[in-house]
Amino acid sequence: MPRDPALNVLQGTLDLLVLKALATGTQHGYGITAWIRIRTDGDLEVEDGALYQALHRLEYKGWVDADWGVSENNRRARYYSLTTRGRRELRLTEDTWRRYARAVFRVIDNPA
Amino acid sequence: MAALKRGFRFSFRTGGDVAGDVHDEIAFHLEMRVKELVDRGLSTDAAWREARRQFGDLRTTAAYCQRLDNEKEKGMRLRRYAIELRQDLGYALRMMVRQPGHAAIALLTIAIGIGATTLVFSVVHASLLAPLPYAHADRLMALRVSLPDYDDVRRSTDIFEDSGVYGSNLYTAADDEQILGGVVSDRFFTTLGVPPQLGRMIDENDKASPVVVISHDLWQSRFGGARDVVGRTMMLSGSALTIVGVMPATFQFPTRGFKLWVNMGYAMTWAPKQTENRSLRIFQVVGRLRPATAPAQAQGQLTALADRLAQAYPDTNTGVTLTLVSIRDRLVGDVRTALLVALGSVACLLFIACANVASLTLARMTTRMQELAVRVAIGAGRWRIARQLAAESILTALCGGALGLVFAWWGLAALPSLIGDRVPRIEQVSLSLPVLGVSALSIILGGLLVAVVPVLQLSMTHIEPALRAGPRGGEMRFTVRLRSALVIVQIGVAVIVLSGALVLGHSFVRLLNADAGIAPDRMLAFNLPLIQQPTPGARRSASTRALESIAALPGVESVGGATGLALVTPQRATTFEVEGRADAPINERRAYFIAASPDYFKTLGTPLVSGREFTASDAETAPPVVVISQTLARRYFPNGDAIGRRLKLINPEQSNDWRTIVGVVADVRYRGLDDVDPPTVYTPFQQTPFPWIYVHVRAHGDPTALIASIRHAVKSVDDRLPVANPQPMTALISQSTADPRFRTTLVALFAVAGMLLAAVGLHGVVAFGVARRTREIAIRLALGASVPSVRWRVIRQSLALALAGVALGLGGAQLLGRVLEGLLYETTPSDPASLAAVAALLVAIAVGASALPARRATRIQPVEALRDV
Repeated sequence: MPRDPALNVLQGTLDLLVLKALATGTQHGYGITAWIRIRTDGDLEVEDGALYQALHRLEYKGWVDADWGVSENNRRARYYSLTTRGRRELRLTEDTWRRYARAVFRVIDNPA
Repeated sequence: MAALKRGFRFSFRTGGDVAGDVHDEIAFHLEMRVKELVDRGLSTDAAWREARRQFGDLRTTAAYCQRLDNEKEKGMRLRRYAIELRQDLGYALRMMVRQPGHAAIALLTIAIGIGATTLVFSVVHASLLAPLPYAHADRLMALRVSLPDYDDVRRSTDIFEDSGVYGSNLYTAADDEQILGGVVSDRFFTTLGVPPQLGRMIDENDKASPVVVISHDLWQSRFGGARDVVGRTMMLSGSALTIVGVMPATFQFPTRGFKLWVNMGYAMTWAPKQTENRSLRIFQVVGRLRPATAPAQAQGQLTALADRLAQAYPDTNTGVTLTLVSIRDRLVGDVRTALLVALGSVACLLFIACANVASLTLARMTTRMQELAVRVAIGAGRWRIARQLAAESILTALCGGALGLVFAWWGLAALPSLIGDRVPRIEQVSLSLPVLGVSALSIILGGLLVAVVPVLQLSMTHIEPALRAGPRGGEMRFTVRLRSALVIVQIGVAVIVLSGALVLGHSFVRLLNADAGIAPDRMLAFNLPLIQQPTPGARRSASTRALESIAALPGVESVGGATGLALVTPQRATTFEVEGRADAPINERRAYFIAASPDYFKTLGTPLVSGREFTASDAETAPPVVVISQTLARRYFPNGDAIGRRLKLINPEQSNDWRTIVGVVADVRYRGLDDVDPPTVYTPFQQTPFPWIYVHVRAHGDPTALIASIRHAVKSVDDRLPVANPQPMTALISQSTADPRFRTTLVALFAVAGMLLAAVGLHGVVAFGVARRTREIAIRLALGASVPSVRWRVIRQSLALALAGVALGLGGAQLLGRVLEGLLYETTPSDPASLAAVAALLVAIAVGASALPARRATRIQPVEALRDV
């Protein structure tokens, strides 16, 4: 896989967000940015370019499928959906994240 | 349209498609974002700027996405090809297993074709193509000369960088075994540039010392490979020679038969006159051309020299040329045509074999139309089905080819014992890389031939309707036409090989029936070397006493000797002059020169045409006499008045006297059965005592039973006299026909195999035709056609195909004939008898191949056949 020029630290997080966005149903890239903004109350600023890179990367890995469809305003748009493998990856990544976050919170919330 | 194409799951996106897609996707995103921002109250310009800012680096992202997508497309494409290939092969394998009979026939047919091709090519490669094991072998040349002529070549030309000269000689070991050896000059080994395995080569410092270099073979067989063999003494024909070196196993010069190489400086002390005898052209120069000298240039110098020599020595050199040939031509010249003919024949066989498999596949395809139609109906494309069919054919070719290589590997082991004597460097024949390359090429070409035919057929067929109605008439006709064309070409090719085999066979039969001028039954011949009797007087008395002692043995009918051995070698030739006819052209003044004992012709069974043969009274001091052969007599004395006339040999070594002709004898073929009527002069052995004599013994019964008593009798005369190589004359005859027999057998074998395969192909086509026309035949029968007329229609189809094939083949046979010309004895390539035989045989095959289908046709029950359809 070609090397990723975008922010490497965020990559795992961004992939998780994209997979999660697609778990609710088929969506195009713009729709995913909107979904992320709504679900995070705009707290997470995701660069659009990085999102598309993540989408194509996930497609390359076989976690998401892409196909052309017609958007809500009758435009031709590229729609993404989770594959079976993508669904499994999402579950795994969620678990990892929860344990990671719990560990970090334990440290932050019990400073003694 | 493009969108439609991309929308279809199984088409792939090109690089351009991918770039377009990425561009469209990003454009859609930006437009959506701009619309959102404008809705929030930004101006269009500001909204665009903001959208671009939120997106980040546009170009990098687009490039990144494109790269990933392209990679993915490539992976998918490869994966799909791999999957389809696996499907194709798996399917092909299942088809083969489901029809093991068909698969076995196809595999075996191809295996035999590939195996034979590989085997023959491996021989051709080792003998004709592989580099010779000598330094700068491409510049090595050979030249036949006499020793004085060689001196002139060296003195007055500078064409060779290095050169040596060699002759051959049969040596007698201490145990009477005959060993073929070379007599080699001091530069012989350096010219060939092969270092010895042990010890050293013969060189300038050896002068006239008795030294010998032995072959690896002899080292193993006589000395058990002893490391200390160098320095040992070996008794050869009565001389003690010191072994100075052992050559490696690959050094077989000029042929495998040569087991040792004796210093020429020493050998010439025994035969000093050979160094002065310009007409004794029994020596070969081996020379390495200078790098800058082209062979044509060198030949130019030699031709000029030959002209000068002819002027200086008109007696011996008039009309004598010096002809340079490459060392490879010298070493393999005799077998080249035979090997190439064999290769051509086997390639024809391979073609016929592959065509048969293709034809078989075609026939099977017709019965598989329904299956193919189903596959089309469930979505397989035409190209996909073509690939499917090709995969089956190629799998068959590959498996058959692999099996063929196994066959070739087995055959290789048997090769030396089958053709070892006739083909140079047979032990180097192996399945080497170039040989395997040619096999692979044959397999691929065979596979393509087998694969392309069904694909061609497919391209002409409308598969879909087959599901409903079965194959249509037009498509069937195309199948029949394709198979007919195949079978015509097959028969044509088979006819070419067959006519070659017949012409060779015809020539061979003529050769067997040739009159060699001798009666070979109950006769034994052996060499009696007189090398240990150094004086002419000692040779005279030893030979006379040996012959007398053999004549006295019980069971011996008669005995005689001569310096030539019929069908094997005359040993010597000479220039001569008939009294009063010094003006005769030089090429009519050459003849074999043979010294003979009394009773030689009587023993040999050679009829005396006029005069007498030699008697005991033609002694050393008696008037010099000569007997001449019939051809010679006819040329110079057409009125039959040869007796009493005189001729003189121009031969400083033995005799320069005027000799009176006392007899004319029938022609004897000295060089082999195809050595037609060579002029020959015979002198009494007592007057020209050579250092050897071939003794001929005619027995009352089995001549080989006499060998022990003959040996005893000869030893009792002088225990230094060897009885060398005693052999029945009949064995010599079969040896002299071994080469043509081998050639003829080989080509005949390929011809029979090719013809059988072609007959199978023809049968298949005719049988298919009958099966296809079952209904038509049934109608004919129902309408009252007679059984013979129906049969005739079937046979007629077969005959038409066969005759078309014959016409095609005979054209090709004319071309082949030109190649064969040099191999034929008193037979022309377009020998009408052979061609007639081909035509007759083909008619027989055509009738034979159609016999079964014809019978089946007349067994058709009209009612059932019509009901079935």
